Amino acid sequence: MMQERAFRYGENDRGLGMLTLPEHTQNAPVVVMFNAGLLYRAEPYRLNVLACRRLAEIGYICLRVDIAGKGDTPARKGLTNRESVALDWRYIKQSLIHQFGERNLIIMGLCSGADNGIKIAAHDKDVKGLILMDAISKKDKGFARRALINKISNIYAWIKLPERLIKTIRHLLGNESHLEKSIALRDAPNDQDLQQCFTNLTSLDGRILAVFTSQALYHYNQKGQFSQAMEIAGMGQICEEIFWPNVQHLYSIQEHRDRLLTVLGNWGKAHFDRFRTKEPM
Amino acid sequence: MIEPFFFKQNLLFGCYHPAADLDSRRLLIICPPFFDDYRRSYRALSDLANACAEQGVHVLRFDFFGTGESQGLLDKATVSVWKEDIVAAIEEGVALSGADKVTLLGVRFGAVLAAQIIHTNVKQYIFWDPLASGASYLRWLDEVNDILRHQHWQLSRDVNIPFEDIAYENFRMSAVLKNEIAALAFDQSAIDKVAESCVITTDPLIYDAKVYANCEFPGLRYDWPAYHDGIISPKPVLEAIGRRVLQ
Repeated sequence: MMQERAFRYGENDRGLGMLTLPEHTQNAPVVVMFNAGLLYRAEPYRLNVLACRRLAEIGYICLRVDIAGKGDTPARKGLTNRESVALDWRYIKQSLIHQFGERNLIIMGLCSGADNGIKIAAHDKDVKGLILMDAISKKDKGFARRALINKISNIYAWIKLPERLIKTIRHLLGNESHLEKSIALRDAPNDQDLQQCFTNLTSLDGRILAVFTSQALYHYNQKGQFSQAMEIAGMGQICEEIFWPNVQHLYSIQEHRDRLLTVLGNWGKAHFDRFRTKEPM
Repeated sequence: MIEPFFFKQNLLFGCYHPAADLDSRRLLIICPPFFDDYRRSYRALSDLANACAEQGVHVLRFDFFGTGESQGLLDKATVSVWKEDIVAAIEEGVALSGADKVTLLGVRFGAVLAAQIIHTNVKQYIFWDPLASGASYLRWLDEVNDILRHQHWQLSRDVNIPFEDIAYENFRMSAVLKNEIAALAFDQSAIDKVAESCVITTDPLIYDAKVYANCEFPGLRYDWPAYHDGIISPKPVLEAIGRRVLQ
């Protein structure tokens, strides 16, 4: 059975997370899993719990953590989301260093968790890896063409044309769709964050796993687009992209979650030696 | 401050909220709902636990075996194990707090399980939107699977890709577990013989039909059965439960 214990961080130790420990913690890298949207640290559908246990079997120290205002960690007042997440990260790192010493860090997150990971890695060179699920991707030159071809060749899109026209009219009248509203609410990384994050990781020879589902289709529609659109030399070599357009954003189907856990495990195994610190700590 | 820990031979995950009055002899044990219901109500139950602890009641929340942050996978879970989990949580909570008056709060399917437990320390039962039976719950879980299958079929058409021929299950459960769940019924009358009990419902039809002997409708309707990605933080319901716990 995996050893797990509570993790505390922040002002008066009010921040809460759970650590999953591998058999040997010496020089083990640390994976920090952020909340997905408003969900608590274990979710969606227990995915973070099982991901922690899968990666700890390989040798990673894993932390699933509630940042301020999520799950069991109280909210902070008077800070923007970006400021609060930056403060959370400072405290989380302090607590990790206190317990394990300096380690290579990998951040994993879905949706806003991925956004937070990118914003942090843009400014913290201790982050050597990112596992991004439905992160924001820049559109490359072929994005619009591919989207158009896909629509034109889709018989169902033609059948649904009247419905789409009504939606477009509503949009023009100011009645945005639920999806558009939720995207607008997302505190996504800006171009500068993206550039700095992936330039850093490429220069550090870090590693990225980027998984995209149907939720990303409004900005991502081809495997390879994510690193290609960034136009950073060498990024393609450190970034593994997975494109699952038939999977829902929150991995509501058990088989899809199992598939993701297999991918995570394989990626974790493939890069474990790279992420380990060279000397036992 | 919340104290997370493992108990029952380190199999079960619990969060203990000690009462502001450490000498309090009252303890609330929260039997959470399962699956999607739990995802939607986690923060609400955490807030409820904090509020009760501040008002002088110790609280223990826990995850059933094979769910949440407890150990194990669902394919190893059984209804008898889940019932044992509730008893273990009561005994762990009593040992931690020194309390001797226990309130058992069951939510949705957690209420169906809680209603099966008779324990000398349990003096009060509160059921939040209990399911009528295990069988009705299974029917609902099947409906969720059908909804998810339909959503994925629709998705494949929208994005112009072949529909995957896989099992569209939100959570995979063994046939044994399903049979055990199907055999469960929510029976408030059995509880009423041994302790005080009440139902808090967000369904006015259940309240109006007087389905349960001691039932309160706090004025808020909630669409538990409608599968969606939202989360719930129903202040009037939490206040109603809080009042009952503290009375």
